[in-house]
Amino acid sequence: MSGGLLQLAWRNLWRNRRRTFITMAAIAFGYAMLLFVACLMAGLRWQMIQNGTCLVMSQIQIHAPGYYPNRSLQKTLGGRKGTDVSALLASISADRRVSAVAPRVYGYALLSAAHRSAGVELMGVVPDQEPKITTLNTQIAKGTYLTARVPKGVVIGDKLASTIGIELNSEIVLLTQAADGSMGNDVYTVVGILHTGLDAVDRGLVLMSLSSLQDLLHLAPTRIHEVGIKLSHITAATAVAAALEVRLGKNLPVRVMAWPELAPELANYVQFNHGVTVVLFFIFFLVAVIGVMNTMLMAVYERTREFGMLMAVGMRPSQVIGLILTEAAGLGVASLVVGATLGVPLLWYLQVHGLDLGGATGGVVSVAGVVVGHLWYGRQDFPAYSQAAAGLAATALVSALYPAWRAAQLRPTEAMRKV
Amino acid sequence: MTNLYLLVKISWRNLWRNPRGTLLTALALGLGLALLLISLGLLDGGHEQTIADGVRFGPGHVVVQAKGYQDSSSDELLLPAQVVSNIEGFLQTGKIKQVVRGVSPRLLATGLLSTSASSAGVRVVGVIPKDDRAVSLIPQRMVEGTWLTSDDKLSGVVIGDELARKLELKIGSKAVLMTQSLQPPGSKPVSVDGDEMQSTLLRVSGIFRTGLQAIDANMIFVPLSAAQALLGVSDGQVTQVALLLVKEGDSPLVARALRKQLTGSPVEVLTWRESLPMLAQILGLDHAFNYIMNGVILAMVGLGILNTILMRVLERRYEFGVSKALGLRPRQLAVMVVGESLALTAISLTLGLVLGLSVQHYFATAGLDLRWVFKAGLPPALVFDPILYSRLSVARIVWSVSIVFAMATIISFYPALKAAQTDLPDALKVL
Repeated sequence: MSGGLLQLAWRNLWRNRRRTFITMAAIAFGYAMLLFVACLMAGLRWQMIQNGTCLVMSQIQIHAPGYYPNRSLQKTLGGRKGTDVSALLASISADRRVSAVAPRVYGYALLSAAHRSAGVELMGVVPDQEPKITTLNTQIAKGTYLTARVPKGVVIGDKLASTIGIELNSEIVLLTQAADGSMGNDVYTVVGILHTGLDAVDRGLVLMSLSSLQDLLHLAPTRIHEVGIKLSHITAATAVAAALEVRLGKNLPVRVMAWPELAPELANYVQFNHGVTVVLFFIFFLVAVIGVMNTMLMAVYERTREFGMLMAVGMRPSQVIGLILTEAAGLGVASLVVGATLGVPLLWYLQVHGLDLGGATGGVVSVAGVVVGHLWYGRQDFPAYSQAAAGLAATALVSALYPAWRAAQLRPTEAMRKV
Repeated sequence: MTNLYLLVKISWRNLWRNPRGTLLTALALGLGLALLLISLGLLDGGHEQTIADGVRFGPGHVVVQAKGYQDSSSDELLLPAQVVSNIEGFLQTGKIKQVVRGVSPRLLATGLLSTSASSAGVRVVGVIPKDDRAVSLIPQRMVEGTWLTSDDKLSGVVIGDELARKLELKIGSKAVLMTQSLQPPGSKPVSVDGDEMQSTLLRVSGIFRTGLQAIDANMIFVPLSAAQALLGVSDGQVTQVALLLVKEGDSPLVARALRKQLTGSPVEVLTWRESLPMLAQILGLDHAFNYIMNGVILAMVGLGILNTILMRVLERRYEFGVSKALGLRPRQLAVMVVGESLALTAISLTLGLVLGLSVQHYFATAGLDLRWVFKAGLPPALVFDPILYSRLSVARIVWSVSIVFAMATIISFYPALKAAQTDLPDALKVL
């Protein structure tokens, strides 16, 4: 019997192709739209985290306990004696989820040039390792990134440059209090000028090589303040940080922090944004549900006469309901497949090429300390896709069930009188 | 004419032949419009909230400053005292007074704030406490102590919590502020270690937290007179005059009026779009996001209408066949179908408006509380208000209703055409 039911359902779907097509369009188009929106929203979230961490901060940072956030000069990894830096980096890289590591040193100084001066933050990096974990090297507006050719070269932000009145290749003096309490000062050459769009960086950061900053601060080569880490998958950041803290902690007192702890502002914004998009997605989902519900209700309601006929020739009401549900289920699944097929090229395009918002924004934008490009990339969000599919399929079934159940309640003669 | 009346009457009766079905359809279409209105309200509300907060952390909707300040951000560029009094006088006159909510003259400079623990480069902002309260959001974000008061002793300072933590400052702690006196450009160069370095002892009277690191770790607020004394600026000179307006939309208007009033003075009058290009760009991005979301939701609502109207009409071949057999001409049949669709749309739109506007009103007054997003408890500071207030202008409502109506009208032509083309013998075949 159930084979017969399937056959009947199949024939019914093909008998009135227009009706089948309209219902299918409602479900498939609604589903494709939901896929599109979910993909864009997941992309926005991912891009915010990615961009927020990749510029200067990195995804995970390792410090000596108590170093962060006050950044006291003395609190280097391993204390005043320091530590074997290359062994430490090798030990971190032993975790297979880690894709790159780089050591860093920080300090504060008064930068002066000509007749003006400003307080700045100094960041010492290894020029050929740092670009593997952050992207500051891609934001050079004039000149070049740090190179081995100019050991005492520095890279500064464009706003700092214009406030102080310095150009490329100008000489600047950095005056600071060194680790041994003496005053350190030296002359440096500006080799590059940055423009990131982030005020804190453009106005207050001076980038130099790790070894020359260690010289300025009178720190031994074994003493570094921080190791920045980039992972293959940023979603694992908190878990990897916890694992590293336990593992490295056996030999060296460390504090390992993942990006949500390092940039609570960004984590807040990402969460807030997530809330907004969840609400929006829910509204969109409701619109799709209403479309499917309405189409299905009408498509089934209009067939009351047909069901009366079926019951008149001996079909039991439960069989009629079974028939309609079989049709609805088949149609629902087929429509979702069509919707997904329509959606796949769209999702692929969003992930690979992104949506160009250049016209609307006119370049680079920073939101909550995050630089956002004008290209908006999508990101696949399979849980959302499957939830949307399940929701639409359930809607299709329930909305077919109601008019079917009502028709099944009628006596065949009554049902057949309906036009 | 009677013909048309008759057709309308038939359409209307057709609609109510099956009241439950019609109401269900109307409700479904109405819900589409309601959801459109709700999402537009939330998107627009978020957009306006971003502008409102953004300008209040910066130089307001409109700012007047010395010519060239925006590009060079050179602190030596100051507004002469008579320009400031000219602006303040002008803003008290006639119509302009009603659109301006607050006016705050500010003096800006960089300095080094030190304690025994550490020192940090800071941005010093000298303000008249009462005036700045009407423009800036920072007085509303105090977490400890109080905002500056006009009877504050000259030594009061308000700082951000990041800075307080870094320098280990508490309410009542003392810190030394070192600044370089502001010299007009072109005057004699100042050496780094020259006499022009000034330092003064300040006492922390309040700590704020905005959640924006650039502000919390950087900005310190002192009374204007103290800043002027410290920076060697003669009384009355300031860096900028920041204006907060009642309505953001008036910004270009006020800027134009001020430019006219200040013709001949070496000043620049900028709206927030010019003074905060970054904010303007963020909003551009936000706008693009809203644009895409609007497009998607309109497409979905449109498809809903298309499905509903097609489904309603295309299944009624038998009925149209009967009407035709009774002598209705194809054109009349088409008018009837369009009339029926439009009447249905009108009922749906009414339902949708009532439903959508009530929910919208709720979100506009009570707000949409997004605090649940923060599973681990509310973070101590939020840049964004976690309660999103919906905002929907009349123009927006008219826009959405017209678009939905237009879509329904255009869509109803296809089934009308189909109905008109009904082939009589074929249609009368019983299923």
